[in-house]
Amino acid sequence: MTPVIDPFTLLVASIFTSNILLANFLGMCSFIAISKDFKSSNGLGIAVTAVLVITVAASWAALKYLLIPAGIEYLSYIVFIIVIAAVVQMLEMIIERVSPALYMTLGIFLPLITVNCAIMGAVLFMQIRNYDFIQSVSFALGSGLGWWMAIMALSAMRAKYDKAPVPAGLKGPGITFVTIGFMAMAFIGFSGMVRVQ
Amino acid sequence: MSQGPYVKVFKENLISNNPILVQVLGICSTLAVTNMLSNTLVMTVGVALVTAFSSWALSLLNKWIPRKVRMIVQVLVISFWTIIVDIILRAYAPEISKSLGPYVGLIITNCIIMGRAEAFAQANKPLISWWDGLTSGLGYMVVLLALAIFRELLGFGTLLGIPIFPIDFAGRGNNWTIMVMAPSAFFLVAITLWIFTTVKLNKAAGGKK
Amino acid sequence: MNKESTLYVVIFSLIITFVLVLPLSVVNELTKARVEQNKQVAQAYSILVALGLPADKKEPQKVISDYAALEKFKLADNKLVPVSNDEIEQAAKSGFPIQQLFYRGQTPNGLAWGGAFTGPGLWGNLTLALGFDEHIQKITGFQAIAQVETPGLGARIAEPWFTNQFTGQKIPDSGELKFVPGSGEGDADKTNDSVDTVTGATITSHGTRDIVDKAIAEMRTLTAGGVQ
Repeated sequence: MTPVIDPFTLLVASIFTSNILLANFLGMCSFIAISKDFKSSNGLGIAVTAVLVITVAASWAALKYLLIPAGIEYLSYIVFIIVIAAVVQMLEMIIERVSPALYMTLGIFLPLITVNCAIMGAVLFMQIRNYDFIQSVSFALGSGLGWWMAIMALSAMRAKYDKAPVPAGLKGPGITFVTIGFMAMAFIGFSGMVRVQ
Repeated sequence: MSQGPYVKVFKENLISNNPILVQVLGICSTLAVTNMLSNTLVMTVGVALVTAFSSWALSLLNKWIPRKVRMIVQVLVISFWTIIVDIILRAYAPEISKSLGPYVGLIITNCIIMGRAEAFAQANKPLISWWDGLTSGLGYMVVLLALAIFRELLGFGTLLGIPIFPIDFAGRGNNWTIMVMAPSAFFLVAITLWIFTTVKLNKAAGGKK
Repeated sequence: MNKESTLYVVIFSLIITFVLVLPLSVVNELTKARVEQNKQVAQAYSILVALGLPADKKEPQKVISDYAALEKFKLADNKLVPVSNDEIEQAAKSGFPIQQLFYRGQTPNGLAWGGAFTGPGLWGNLTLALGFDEHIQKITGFQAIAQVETPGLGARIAEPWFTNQFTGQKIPDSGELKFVPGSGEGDADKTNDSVDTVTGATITSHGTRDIVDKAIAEMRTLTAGGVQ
């Protein structure tokens, strides 16, 4: 049964209070790796948002018009991952044509969006929560924007603390996790702000 | 001293090249499921088996996979084993299946599995690839279980649902709720990384442990 | 054949898809009945426990037959109308399943009413099984049938310490049960007018409260005039 959530509330909630990265821990690997560089973080954030919206929309359609009517819901994971791979492949071709500079900056991380858990995660959440089309798109857009915002914030902070005196054992991933921990705590502060329903 | 290849793989995947502490892979699920020990157990066993069998299958298929579709074939094989784990959980352990929710499906995107497929299964024989997958899963399991024990004990006062601490040990009628929520996972992983890396650096510098 | 040629890629893709999908459909077929039965048993179990009737998941057949023996009602014109198991099955087969069923059963403590009630939680809908005594003065039981809340937080509404709070809990005359922050061990006092929330899971707790309070109001209205 489709929950009764206003799509705009869902959009705002997915950016702040239920941030897919800081609250659901999805999309961490590339988050940690790419946040070293501000420009690529920006590019990746936009790419992830675009992939999220298109993929969730396409997966919703696949679920509604193919998987459920044909009774093959147990194959959902396979269909979803194929949709994700196809969308990422298309996006790769578009970026290569439109902005070769961005294409070079992102490098291997562009095809790696396929296995970014945030994408698959968003699709699975959409399926489990039975969102309708508009809710799905709002949720995907909000998740993307939230992810983008988080990676921008982290990369800005890294620019500072990468130069700070940090104990040897904590350098690199260690201090990054501490920082993300604080960001996550800060975002929890948002939870009273928006009632998701 | 020569070690058999199996022992070498075991040692590397558990310690010197531990997927979480050294390669920093598979973080998403680490943070999400470690607030309860029972979820962690099921998840880590699932990941270990999927990694093992995916690496095995991909190593078998190695010769025949065209370069162009390599990544998608890897992902499809991983999805296949994940679906098997999912179906088995739904049929024989429905409570846990519900409790894990989307995180079972997210085994597919667990970077450890892809990582082992790329780094090992491509260039090695099926049997040792299976072993490599399994031991990587074990390396993942050891770290997650440690984190989960911490988080469940301090956050709920229980282990596997069995009360160990009286929850009120803070004396204010509150348990340490933040242990159950997102930030604690990040901090605990940071602390674990800190200890692990410091020990590693000291050893490398030839200093005392 | 050249491994990199387009023809090879296409043939390979078709074969691998077939090789992967076939065993999956087999495994799925083999376990389908079991998965479906698990679902039915879970639903039946929740309703029985909410009503205050004994139920043991290790005896699925008994759970199913006890559930079948309950009196069932559907809503028609905002009144409770008895409906038989056959009618329910027919409706489901025709593609228009009855949306909401209410139950009545004879328990050791007297007659009990029950139903499955849905409302919004944090991430999606919560479906709760709630049972009431004959005059809707006490709650006989609470079970979480379906929820997609955060594991370890909102999802804890399914845990025994939380659900047990409702067994025998008195309903205040206002019809609104209060949910207040507690110790995390559950409120054992059944005569006060509140139960404990799940610490750290505010939105899920409030969603639960809203469903419970609405259910109380609904059941009081529906059973007020008496039913045959």
